[in-house]
Amino acid sequence: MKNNTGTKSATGLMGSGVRDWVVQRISAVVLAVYALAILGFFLFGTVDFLHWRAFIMSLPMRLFSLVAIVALSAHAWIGMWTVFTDYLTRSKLGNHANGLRFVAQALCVVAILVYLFWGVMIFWGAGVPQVF
Amino acid sequence: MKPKSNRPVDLPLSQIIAVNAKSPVAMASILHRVSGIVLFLLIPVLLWVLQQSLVSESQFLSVLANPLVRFLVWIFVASTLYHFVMGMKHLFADLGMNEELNSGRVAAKVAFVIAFALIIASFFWVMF
Repeated sequence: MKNNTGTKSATGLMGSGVRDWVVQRISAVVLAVYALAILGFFLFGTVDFLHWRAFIMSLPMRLFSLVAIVALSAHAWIGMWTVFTDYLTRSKLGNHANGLRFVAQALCVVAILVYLFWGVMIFWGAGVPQVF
Repeated sequence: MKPKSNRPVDLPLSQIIAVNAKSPVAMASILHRVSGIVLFLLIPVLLWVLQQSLVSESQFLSVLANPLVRFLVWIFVASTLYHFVMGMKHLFADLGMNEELNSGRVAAKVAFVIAFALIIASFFWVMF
C-alpha cells in the first residue's frame, strides 16, 4: 500500500500508486475502444436521429456506455490527481498550496460524480425525456 | 517541510519552457496533459449535447446546427484524437518500445504527425 516515498496518498483513487497505474491503463484501453465504437457509427452508420438514438439506446451500447463512463471517472480522477499533485505544490505556490490542492481535488471529485450520475441518467434513467 | 538540499527547485517558467520547447518528447507529454484537462472540462458540454441529441428529431437537428456546439465538439474530438494517439504511444512505451532517447524522439515526432493529420481532418469532418 505504500509508494516509494513511504507516504500513502490520501487523495489518489486506489490509495496506491501501482494500483492507480494499472487502473489508468485498463480504463485507457476501455475508453480507446469506446471512442472507436462511436467513431465507427459516424463513419459507417446512417447519421440521422432515429439511427443515432437506436444505436446509443441499444442494450450493448447502453452497457458499453456505462462501463465507459465508470472508466472515464477513474481515468479522470487519476489524471487530474497527477496534474494537481505536480503543479499545485508548495515549491511552486508557497505555503497555501496544500489547502488549495485539497480544495481543487475536492471540486474535481464532485465534478466526476456529477458526470458519472448524469451519464447513468442519460443511458439508463430519466435523463432523456421520452418525446417522440 | 523544507527541501532536503540547497538545489534550486524554483526555475523560472520561461527557462522551463525554453528548454522543453526544443524537445518533442517533452512537448508531446505536456500537451497530453493539456488535452486531458480540456477533455475533462468539456465533458459536461458533450453530455449536454448527447442528452439534447436523444430527445427528439428537432432537438437533434437544432443542436447539431449550432456553430458554437459544432466548434466545441470539434475541440473535444481534436483533444480526444491527440490524447488517443499519445496514449497509444504511452502504452507502447509501457511494453518497452521506443523508450530510449533517440527512438523516443522519433516516436514523439511520428505521433505528432499522425495526431496533427487526424486533427486537421476532423476539423473539416465536424465543422462542415
